[in-house]
Amino acid sequence: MTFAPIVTPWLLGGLLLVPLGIAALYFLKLRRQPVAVPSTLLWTAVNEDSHVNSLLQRLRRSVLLALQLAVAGLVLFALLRPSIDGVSTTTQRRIFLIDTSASMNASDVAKLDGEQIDFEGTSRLDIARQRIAAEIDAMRDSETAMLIAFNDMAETLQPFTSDRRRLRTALSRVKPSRRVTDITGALRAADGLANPRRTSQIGDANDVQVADALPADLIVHSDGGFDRVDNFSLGNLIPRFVPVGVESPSNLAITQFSAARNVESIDQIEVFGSISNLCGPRRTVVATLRGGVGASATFLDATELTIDPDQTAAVSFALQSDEAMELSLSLSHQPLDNESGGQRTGDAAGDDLAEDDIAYAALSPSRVVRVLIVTPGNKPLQIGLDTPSLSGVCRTEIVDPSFLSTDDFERRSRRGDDDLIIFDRCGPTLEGQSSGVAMPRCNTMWIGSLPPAGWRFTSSSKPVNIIDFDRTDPLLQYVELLSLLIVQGRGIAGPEGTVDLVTSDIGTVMAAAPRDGLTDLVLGFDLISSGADGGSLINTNWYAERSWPVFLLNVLRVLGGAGDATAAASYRPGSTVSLRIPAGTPQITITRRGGEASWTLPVPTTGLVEFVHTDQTGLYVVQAEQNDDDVLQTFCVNLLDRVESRLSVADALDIGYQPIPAETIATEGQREYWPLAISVALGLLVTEWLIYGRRI
Amino acid sequence: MPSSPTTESFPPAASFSQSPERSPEQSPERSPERSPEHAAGQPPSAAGQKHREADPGPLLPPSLLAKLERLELVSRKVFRGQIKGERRSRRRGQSVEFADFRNYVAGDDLRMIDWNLYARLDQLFLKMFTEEEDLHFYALVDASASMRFGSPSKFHVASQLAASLGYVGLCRGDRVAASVLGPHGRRVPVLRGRSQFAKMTDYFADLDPTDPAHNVHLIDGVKQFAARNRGNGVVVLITDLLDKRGYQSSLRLLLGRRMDIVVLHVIAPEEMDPPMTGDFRLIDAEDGEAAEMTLTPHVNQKYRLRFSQFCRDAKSFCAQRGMIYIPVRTDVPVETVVSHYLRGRGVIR
Repeated sequence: MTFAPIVTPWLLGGLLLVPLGIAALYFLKLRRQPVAVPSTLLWTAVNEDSHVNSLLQRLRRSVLLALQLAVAGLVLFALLRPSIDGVSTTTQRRIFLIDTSASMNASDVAKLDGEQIDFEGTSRLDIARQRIAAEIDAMRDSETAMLIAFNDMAETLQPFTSDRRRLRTALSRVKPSRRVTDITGALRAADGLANPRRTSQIGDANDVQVADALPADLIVHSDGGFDRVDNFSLGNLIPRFVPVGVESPSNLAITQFSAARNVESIDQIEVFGSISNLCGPRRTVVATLRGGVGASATFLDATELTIDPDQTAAVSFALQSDEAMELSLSLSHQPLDNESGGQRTGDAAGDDLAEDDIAYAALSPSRVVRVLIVTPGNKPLQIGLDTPSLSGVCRTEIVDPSFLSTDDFERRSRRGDDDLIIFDRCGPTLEGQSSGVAMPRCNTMWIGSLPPAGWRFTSSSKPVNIIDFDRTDPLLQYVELLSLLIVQGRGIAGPEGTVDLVTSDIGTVMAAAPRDGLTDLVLGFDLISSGADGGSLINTNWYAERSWPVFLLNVLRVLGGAGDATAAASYRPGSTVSLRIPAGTPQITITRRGGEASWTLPVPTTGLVEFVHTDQTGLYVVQAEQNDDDVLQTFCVNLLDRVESRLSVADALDIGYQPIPAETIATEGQREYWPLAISVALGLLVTEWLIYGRRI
Repeated sequence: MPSSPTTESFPPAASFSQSPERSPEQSPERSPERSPEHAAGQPPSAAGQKHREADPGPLLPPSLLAKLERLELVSRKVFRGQIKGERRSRRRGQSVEFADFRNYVAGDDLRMIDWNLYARLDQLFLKMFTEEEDLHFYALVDASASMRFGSPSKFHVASQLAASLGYVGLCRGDRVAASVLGPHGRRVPVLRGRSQFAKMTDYFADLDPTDPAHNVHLIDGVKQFAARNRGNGVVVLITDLLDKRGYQSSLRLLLGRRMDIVVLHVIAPEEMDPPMTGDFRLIDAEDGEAAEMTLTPHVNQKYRLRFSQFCRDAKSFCAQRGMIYIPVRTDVPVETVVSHYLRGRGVIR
């Protein structure tokens, strides 16, 4: 039994005097109307009959007083707001972590009936919210609580407070999202007070813990749909995992969806998709490909799939068009109605998560990447770019390094006419430009030379033995470099944010660094070098390797934007999308197809626009003006996450190598007893009145 | 037989009420004194506002007087009178009714010797006859403050009863003394003969019922009466018996005087069935004592039961001691009371 008095202690103390007042009032006389009677002889006798002759009469008066005191006591008891908590805390501090990721939008909880769950809601998030609200109501005044919502990022909605009203207000601000789950940030936000850090001064003997640890109950309301967290120690946090969801949800999800033009034949479009039966029984589903989004979508193709549990089926469609295309793939459990053209996503009877039943893709019109090569002469580079695969993607222009000092280069550089500029053993200097802007507004690749700012060599020219390289980087995909022979090279170091791509015994010899949304790729070795006689000397055998044209294709796709030419980029919900806008565009309008949402953003001089309103899945179109037919860029936001789509509720969480089993009993809401106390008080009041009516 | 007040159904009264105690002869400018609640500085009750009522008329209507002339007071006991009268006496006297013989002793009146018997027996015997004497009739009216209640007031009804019985006695040549208890009883004239009836009515007319001097305890009034009147006779005590010192000692005192006692218990209907409910401070009209009561139907019912018990106790007390107890309601005409109740109980014939 806990008490959450709704009055201040001082007022409560004052109210405790009420029974004393009642007892005092009980002995006060009523204001009675004086009436003369012949004699009070018989009246007094009647009174004496009541007072003396009957013990019951004496008790009756006592009963009245007792009833009144009981009524007052019950009212005071009700003011103390007695209740029984469903779950008691071991500490005086609670930290509520509520999962707002995409999987929490699952509607599987709607299958539960009233006997299995105390709350009503349409999604897991609703249930979690109501459970937390019940726990907030059950808090004592001495307890404090904190509310953190997390998906792929953590947001502290309410710091520690004992004000239940503020906690409820913060809880009302919890909104569902389509983002993936990462609890790490929420855990780090939660353990600030529970596990205070030191001053982090290494070697300081006086470096002691700067604050006392304040243990807290960490209550995670989630479906557990996230990876284990290893790099975190719970410390003084006492975890509880309150699972949300049913034991056997049902969900089919689109886990992959992409559309790409055939590089060799740009009017051929290949559409690929993967559909997984992540949880639930064997299901049959119709995958429908439509052109466009929303009401204007047109049916393109469809296929019916039967997928066993935990199996994935692939779908592929072949289209032919050299125009821009907007595509959507949706799942439907019902026969497709070709005439309607509308999109049916999900099935309330069979699918518990609608967000992963539709995916978007877009194709830009085919275009050729413009590459400017500034070189005194580089045969291997030319040979590589002249391969059939690359020549169909790009149009190269080779200029002498003297071109760098011309106004034409400055103009091209400022306008960003080129998609990629390759500087071979040369480069623009800060002093060489009248405008003072040295670097062009496009991606660059530097071979044997360094960008004018932020880069430096870390070693002298030495033979290079490659030790390792980053195979996961898009630039080095499908590339094998360990067999390269490099005669001379120098280690390089870039500005902050530089990603080392190739590491050798003399240091990094290939790195990429961001520059205002652009990327500078630097190679610390030449392909060919000039001899003492001015002739060309082969510095590496890379040009003779199969990986050389592959690497150049990667460069054209990643740095030159050749990838954009075939397919719109797909981002996860909540990601920050960097948009490169052509010069001369003062502002852009980004419209989400179908959702009828649009944002107008100014374009800075750098031409780089960061777009963050990607919480909703969909197809986003970038235009110079909203009703302009000229689409500058297109990108998609898709969930496409197997972890989020797997709706099975975790049996336990694994945080810091500590398993946290799911609580098998649902959180029991606070049971209030003040209405019962008030009802009994009213009943006693009526009884007291009835007795008073017969009182002498 | 008159029905018992506890079994009769009475019309509900609006409230406890006090009635004017002005007799027909009372001068209009002689306003009665304040009621007890006025004296206590309390707001006048509704009953108090009804205090001044219309002139009730003559104490006894002529029609009643005509009926009374044919009646006669009945005494169950034979008392000694002071003068020759119409009543038989225990004493031997000179009436025509033979009583007894006795031997002659020296000093006896020779006129009383039965010479015929002497001639026959040669012994002297005295022939004695019963003496016929007058009847001492006392009508004692309780004039305490409690008698001022009712409509008509209990005192008014009591005065009418006393005058009625006194008139009967006067018509029969009895020695009649009708008075109120208390100090005013000292100057009550002893009346004999029908012509003295006016004095009796004047006496009651001159009484101021609101005079605090009348507000004496029953026992005190009876003691004073007993001190003044040593003779035997018929005593009719007209009272409401509402005395906190009790009525029993008063009746015992009269009984000790070997009097023939008749108790006329005057009852106002409002007393039998209190009409009010609510929270009241009941103020005793006689001693001003206050009793705080919450009058509910339940309480009123208990009061009615208590009042009935009070009447039964009085009746039982009187019956056990040879006294006649007659309850008299103020809403019953005096003529009915005299012609039915009193005749029925043998007080008059």
